[in-house]
Order: sequence, then C-alpha cells, then structure tokens
Amino acid sequence: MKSKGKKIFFGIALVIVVALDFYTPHGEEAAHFWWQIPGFDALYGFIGCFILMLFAKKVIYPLFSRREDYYDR
Amino acid sequence: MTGSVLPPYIYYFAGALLLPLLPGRFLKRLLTLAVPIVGFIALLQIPKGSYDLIPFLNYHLTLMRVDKLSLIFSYVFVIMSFIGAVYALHIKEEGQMVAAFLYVGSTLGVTFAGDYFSLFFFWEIMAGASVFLIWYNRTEASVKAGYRYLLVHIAGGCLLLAGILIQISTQHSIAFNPGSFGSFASYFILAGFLVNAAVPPFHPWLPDAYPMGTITGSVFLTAYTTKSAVYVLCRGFAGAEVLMWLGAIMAIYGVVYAFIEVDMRKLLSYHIVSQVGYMVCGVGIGTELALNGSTAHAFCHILYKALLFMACGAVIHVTGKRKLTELSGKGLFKIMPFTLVMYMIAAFSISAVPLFNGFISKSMVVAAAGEAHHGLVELMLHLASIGTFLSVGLKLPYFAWFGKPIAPHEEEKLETGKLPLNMKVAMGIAGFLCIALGVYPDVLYRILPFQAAFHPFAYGHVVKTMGMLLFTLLAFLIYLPKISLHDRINLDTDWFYRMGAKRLYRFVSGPMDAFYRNMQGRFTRQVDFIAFVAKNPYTAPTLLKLGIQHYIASGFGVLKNVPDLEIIDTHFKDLSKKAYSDDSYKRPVGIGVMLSILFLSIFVLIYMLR
Repeated sequence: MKSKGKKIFFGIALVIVVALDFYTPHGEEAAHFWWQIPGFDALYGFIGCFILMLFAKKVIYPLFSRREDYYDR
Repeated sequence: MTGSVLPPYIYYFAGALLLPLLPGRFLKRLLTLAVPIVGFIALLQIPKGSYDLIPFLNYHLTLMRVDKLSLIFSYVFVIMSFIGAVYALHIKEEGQMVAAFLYVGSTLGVTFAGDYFSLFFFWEIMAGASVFLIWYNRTEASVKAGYRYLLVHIAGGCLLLAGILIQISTQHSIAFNPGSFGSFASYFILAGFLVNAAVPPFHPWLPDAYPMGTITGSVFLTAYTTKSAVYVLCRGFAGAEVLMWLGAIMAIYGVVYAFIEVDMRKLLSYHIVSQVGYMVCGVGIGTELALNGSTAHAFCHILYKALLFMACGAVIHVTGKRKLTELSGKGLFKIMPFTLVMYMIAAFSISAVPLFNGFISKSMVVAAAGEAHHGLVELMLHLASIGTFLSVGLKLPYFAWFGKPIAPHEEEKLETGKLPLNMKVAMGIAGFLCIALGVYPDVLYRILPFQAAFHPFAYGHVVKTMGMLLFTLLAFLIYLPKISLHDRINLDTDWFYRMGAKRLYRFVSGPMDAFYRNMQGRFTRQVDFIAFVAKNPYTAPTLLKLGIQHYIASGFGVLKNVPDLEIIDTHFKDLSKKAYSDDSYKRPVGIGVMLSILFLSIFVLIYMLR
C-alpha cells in the first residue's frame, strides 16, 4: 500500500461494501439480533482480526514460543 | 464374496503391488496415472446398497456399503489421488507411490466399510501406509516425527478397537451404524475417531508430522486421514452436541496457532485443524443442512488444501526453503508467479471468497449454525474464517512472495531450481476445480447426501462476506508493520508426550536404574555369602550361627570394640578356612554293612513272627 491511488481505491471499496450492507434486507434469514445491525460484518471482521492477531502475538506467542532446538536439547 | 462388483480400492492395492514390478519409468508413470482413472470409472459404475459380505467368525463383514454419503467422499478421494499422482510424477522412487496407493486404497476401504471389523482393518493400514510418506523425506526430524505420528495413531487405533470390542460384548453386533452415541462403547469409538480428526487435545500429530513429509507425500497426507475421520463422524455421530463445541473451538485454535507459525507447511497444517473444525462442528449440529455442509466442505477442502500444499511444496522444491523468515524479501514473486497465482486461488477458496469453492461449502456450515439458533457457534466460525483469511490469504503469501528481509536471513541469496511441468499441471487441475466448483456449485450440490436447499449467492450473503473480508484486510494492513517473524517453534499439546517421554526416560535411566543397581548389589552380596558358606556343608551351620552371634554381639552392626566379637571373628575365620574334603568326613564301610545287616535281621524277624 505504497501508492496513494491504491489507498484511495481500497478506501472506496470499503465504503461501498459498508454502504451496500445498509441497503441489504436483514429480514427473516437473520436469526440473531446482531445480524440486523448494518455493517456488523465489516465491524466484526475488523475487530475480530485485531483480537485474533493480538491474542496470538501477545498471549499465546510469549507463553508457548521456544527456541527451535527446544526438543533436541 | 457375493456380488460381481470389485471394490474400487482393489485397484489401488493392485496398483501398489504391481508398481515395483513394472520395468521402465514410462510404464510406471502410466500405471500411476491409470490407477486413479480406473478407480474413478469403477466408482461411477458401482450400484448402491450393501454387499460384498464375507462371513467372519460369527459375523458378516460388509466390505461395500454404497450410499450417497460414502459415494461423495470416495469421489473426492479418487479425484484427489489423481491430482496427487500427477504432482508426484517426477519422483523416481516408486516406494512413495506404493505407500500413497496403499493409503488411498485403505481410506476408500474405510469409506465403504459397513461394519467395525473391516473399518478397523483399513483404519490401521491407513496409519501404517501413510507414515512412509513422512519417512521418505529421510531427514532425522522426519524419522522422529514419523514415529510420533505412528505412535499416536496406534494409540487411537487401540481406543477404537477397545470401543469395538466393548460394543461386541454388550450389543453382539459389529454393524457400524448411526445413533449409538451415549453407550459406554461409543465413547471409546468416538475418541478413536477424534484422534484421526485431529480434534484438540488430540491434534498435535498433524502439525507435527505433515510439514515433515515429502513434498509430494504431504499433499496426499492432507487429504485422507482427517477427512475419512470426518466421514466416520458423519456416519456414526451426527448430532452429538459435544462435537459442535469441539469443532467451533478447534476452528479458532488452529487459526490462532497458525498466525504465529513461520514454517509454511506447519501454518497450513494448523489450518487443516481449523477447517476440519468446521466439518466436526457441522456434524455436531446434525441438521440436514449442517451435514450437507460438512460433506461439501470436506470435498472442497481436500481440493484447496491440496493446492495450498502443492504451491508451498513447489516453493520448497524450487528454493529449498520452508520458512517465511527465509523467504521474505527475496523477490519470489518474480521467480514463481504461476505458483503465486495458484496459491492465491487456493487461499481465496479457503478464505471463502465468493466464486471460489470454499465459499459455497463453508457458508453452508455457518448458515446451519445460525439456522439451528447457535448464535455463539456461528460467531466463532466467522471468527475462524477471519483468521483463515488473515493467515493463509494475507500473511503467508505476503511474507513468502513479497515482504522485507528478516533477520538473521538478510544476507542469504535464494538458489532456485526448476519446477517440473507435472507439478504445474497438478496445481492447474486443482486450481481449475476450485474455481469451477465455486462458480457452478450445483455440480457438487447435486451429489450431496441430504435434501437441503442452499443458495450461497444470495445478495446479502455476498455483501456481508465481502465486508468481513475487506475489513480483515484493512486490519491486517494496519497491523502489518508491527508483525515480526522469528525462527522459533510454538509448544502445543504434543509437549506432554514429547517432554513426558523424555522425562520418563530420564527417570528410568536415573533414579530407577540406581535403585535397580542398589537392589542387585544387595542380593549379589547375599548370594556371595551363601556361596561362601556352602563351600563346606559341614561347617555351614556353625558359620551361620557364628555370623548371627557376630551380628548380635556387635549390637546389630553398631558397636565395634567388643571383646567377644574378636573371639567370634577368629573362630569364624579359622572355621571358614577349613576346606571340604570327602575323606575327613567319611565313616568306615563296616558301620554301613553292620547297620544294613541289623535292619535286615529285624525285618526277617518281624516277617517270620507274623
């Protein structure tokens, strides 16, 4: 994402996808209330991704990461 | 055997037997390609129903149970064997292909088995044949990983056998039928299945062994063991709610571990755990839509996961590097653009991007979770989906083909070899199938085992999926500068048996061995003493008496300067020097003669008097 053009293009894609979601009927197929929130998927994707990355890097990695020859010593 | 139809796996076993006997590479290659084709033709012609019954003890083995569920799994197994065979066509060692054919054949055997005996038989061949695909890599690490793989599968097989035997003794039946969950036997059988399905905490054999296999062998490994386990779960344990939760947890578990992995094939192996999680979850939900979803996902997963392994295998074949830390910043996209395109097709498939095959199958399971009102499970599966796109769709390709050089590998230059044509062709076939199924899902939906309508391309569904994926990409791009990779390994539940075995060994060789030597020393001293005393049987009682006296006089070994002790000891020494000699203890012959005459006379006297 070095060039400005790419950034703008990507930004527009994000806006369009969220905007489209506002015009999507959230009717009978939504079994749970959170699917009725417009843009919930986008928000969940964004926050979920951060949660996963941070949980893996900040919790699991420091706890369980070892030197490569750990089992050979 | 009744019925005239040969089971399709016979062709694979025959191929495995024939392959080493054929002269010349051309014929061998021809056979390698012919076996899957013949197998597929045979598969298209087998009639439905249960047949090929063999009497065994007091039971009947059902070698062929052909219905929609076993057929769809066997279709993809056979298709995959063709792709794998093309990918491995340049390999000169036929042993790998023999192992692969035995492996595929036994998996088909499991798929068609209608009873637990034949299931167990093929189940064990599967483990025994597949381990050679790891051992053929011929490194020390793969030999060790292979042994661990084999041990875990033998343990799993023992659990299965225990369950089968309990079932026979309680229900007097070997039939492999659904609806048995809840009985004592079913817990063992389920545990045996869960080992092969790589459900945590039984999963570490998979990310341990699959990255250690040969480049071509690992492609086979990804397809069969876990998916045949999904099949038997589908068959026997549909609707067991515990599986739904295990599946959802394992989907996230695999994703989290994958994100911190740097070995490409290990990262992908954790994603097998994650993807099989969807299938196990679908089995646990147990509705018709969910079971269709699990089946369809197994079908699609085999294709795209094989393609992922083929693409990463191609990178390893060409560069000799298997870690992202070694590849990052080396400009691989200039060297291997075709492989990158193929990889991205598979990555988009596994990430469930619309028009790729993962989209049409994964969303079935997720939708089934929502439809069955398991909101939390649905969210967990969505989260795993996000993580899949994050690791397989973004992180791995970014660092493998692009990225910046990473310490301590900045200075290393990539030495690249040539990619054989057959590997490209195999990737092309798999890539084509991934897209074809993504665009025309009806081909797959028509052969699904249950009647449950599903329309993946609903407008709202596509928009929501794209929103989730694009914002995952946004989060990744924001966090990317902070992602650092290191040459490290991550501990998993295999720690318990790897370190456990090490510690057990240390305990046995240390304290246990010392105890053994100590006890042995004590006993040897007693034996020595008895041997010493027994040198002269005549003095032995006196010596023993003196020994006990010494023991008592010295206050049970505590006192030293006791006057009596000296007397006893001198006596003991003198006596012990006295060697045994026959002559010194012999009595004259006359006494013996006299005694015998005396007894004889008494006997005669008594006899006469009566």
